[in-house]
Amino acid sequence: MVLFHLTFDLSIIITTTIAAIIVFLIAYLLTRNATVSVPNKWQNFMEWIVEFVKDIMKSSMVASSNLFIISTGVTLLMYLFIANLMGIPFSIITVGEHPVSWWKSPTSDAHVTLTLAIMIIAYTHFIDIRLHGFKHFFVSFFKPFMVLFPLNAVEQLATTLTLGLRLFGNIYAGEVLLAFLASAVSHGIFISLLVSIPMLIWQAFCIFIGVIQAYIFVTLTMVYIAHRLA
Amino acid sequence: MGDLMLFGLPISLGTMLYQAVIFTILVFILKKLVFKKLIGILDTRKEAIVEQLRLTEDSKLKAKKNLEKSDEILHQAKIDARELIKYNEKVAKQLVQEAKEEAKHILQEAQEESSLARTSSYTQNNQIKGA
Repeated sequence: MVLFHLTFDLSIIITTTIAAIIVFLIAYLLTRNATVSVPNKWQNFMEWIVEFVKDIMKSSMVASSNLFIISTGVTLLMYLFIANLMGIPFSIITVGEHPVSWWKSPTSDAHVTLTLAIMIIAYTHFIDIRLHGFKHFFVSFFKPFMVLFPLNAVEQLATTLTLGLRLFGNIYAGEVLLAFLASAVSHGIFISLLVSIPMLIWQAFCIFIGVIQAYIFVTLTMVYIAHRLA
Repeated sequence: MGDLMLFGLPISLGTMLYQAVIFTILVFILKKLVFKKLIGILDTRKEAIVEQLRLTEDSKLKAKKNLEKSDEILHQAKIDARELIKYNEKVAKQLVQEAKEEAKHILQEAQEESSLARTSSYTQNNQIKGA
């Protein structure tokens, strides 16, 4: 789809929107009747997630009760968790002139993960500029020696790339193998039955990977933010 | 499919833009609708729990003090009671002693009186006899 001379990947737009809506509904509905006194189990669950992210922040020494950073962390965790799991139960692929997969994990596309990574690194730069001024930010590229500027510049680029591509690679690899196993269906009943057990195991493993990668992404985000706050 | 080629890879800027926008919107909506409330609740509850713990500690201390005071009072009361009993026993013994003595005394007097009366009546009889 091309709009304003920009291309849009329709399947990613659909899946990210659905993931965002799911996250919003979960977060909103679970805390609709939130109370200070004894919380019900749904509110308790949301509070558990918030406390979990707060613990991640504490362990990466973000000594900040900044509401925006907490919100970002919790939203990231929930969004990535949902997005990572979206492609596991099934995927919808239309086979035509251009085979298009309509339903998959949005995080199995590097556009999504790299955008998130770029946003986070840009935010850490923004924090640095706001806290210490533009001069400090600019000079920090030439520390400790002038000569190390290329290294510092590459470091920023590399953190962005690794942050985004780590998530993408894990989820994409999972989906590739799932698709490969699922394609066994077209080879007859016997082979499908044979494949169903590794399929189950791999799906469980994909869930595990999805959870771990969401956790790692949030942890690294907090580490990068802490690095700038210090 | 791509606005930009980087190292031979097509990059669709529109998708990235959409992704950035929807995630930002999601973060701000959740921050406004959910996390403000939730974090406020968590903080209030934390404060309330700290307050409760402080209150418990206070009342514990107070209770301990009260218990000590009541113990002291009880001890004093026991001592007082013991003294009172001792004193009363002494008084009672004395009273009994006095009563016994008085009784003896009265008995003696009565005996004397009776013997006196007997002798006088005897003499009276004799006088009547003699007349």
